[in-house]
Amino acid sequence: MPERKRKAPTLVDLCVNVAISHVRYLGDVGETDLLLLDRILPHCTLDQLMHVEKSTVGRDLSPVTDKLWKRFYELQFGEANANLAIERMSRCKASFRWRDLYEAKLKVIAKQEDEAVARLRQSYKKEDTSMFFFYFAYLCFIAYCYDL
Amino acid sequence: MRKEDTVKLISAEGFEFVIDKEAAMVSQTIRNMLTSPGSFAETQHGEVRFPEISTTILEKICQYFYWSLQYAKGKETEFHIEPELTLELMMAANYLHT
Repeated sequence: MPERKRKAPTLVDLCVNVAISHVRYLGDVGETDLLLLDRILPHCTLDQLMHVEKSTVGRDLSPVTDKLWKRFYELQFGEANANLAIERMSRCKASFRWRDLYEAKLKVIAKQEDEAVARLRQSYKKEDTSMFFFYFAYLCFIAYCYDL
Repeated sequence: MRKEDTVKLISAEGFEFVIDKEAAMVSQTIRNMLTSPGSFAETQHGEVRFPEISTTILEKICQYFYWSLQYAKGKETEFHIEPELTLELMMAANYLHT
């Protein structure tokens, strides 16, 4: 029986596997082919992807990363919000990168939270003031009752 | 080893790796260079220059060629790749269709 030859994995495939297993150490990806990055970057967490994009200066990775950011957007803010963003973009005939949309949404949420906290603080303050007047009136009443 | 059975791969820094033609032909790009009729100077001199590939990377690639031949013969060992070389090696491997 003839010996069956097994084809060795290509060096590209071996490298891609190593890159995936060490994805947390990935920074500047330099001139790495987009097709290869398309196999590696989907294994990044949100923070890792952000790090890779910020470290890779002077190169736009969005042809590969945009769909990944869309996924992060959906995971974090829900599919309904993502669809709303798509709808707004098509209505305005504008197109934004999902990473920018993600960061913008984070800012909006942070602002909303700040406003909510401020409102809450304000309502507590009002309550404090009304409680003060209540105690003051109560003390006046006691003083009156006991003819002090 | 006969000279015509070998090929010389030259790195960006000018280091020369003399390896078996059979091993070098693991790379589709080198195979095309060495087998295409006439025009390539590489075919006549048995020399291929890689001005974009550093010595460290070219050495690793040569190791891979031999490992690949062994693997095909049934010796299925692991080919170790240092993580710090990965991206550069991947780009070179991609260029060499390896």
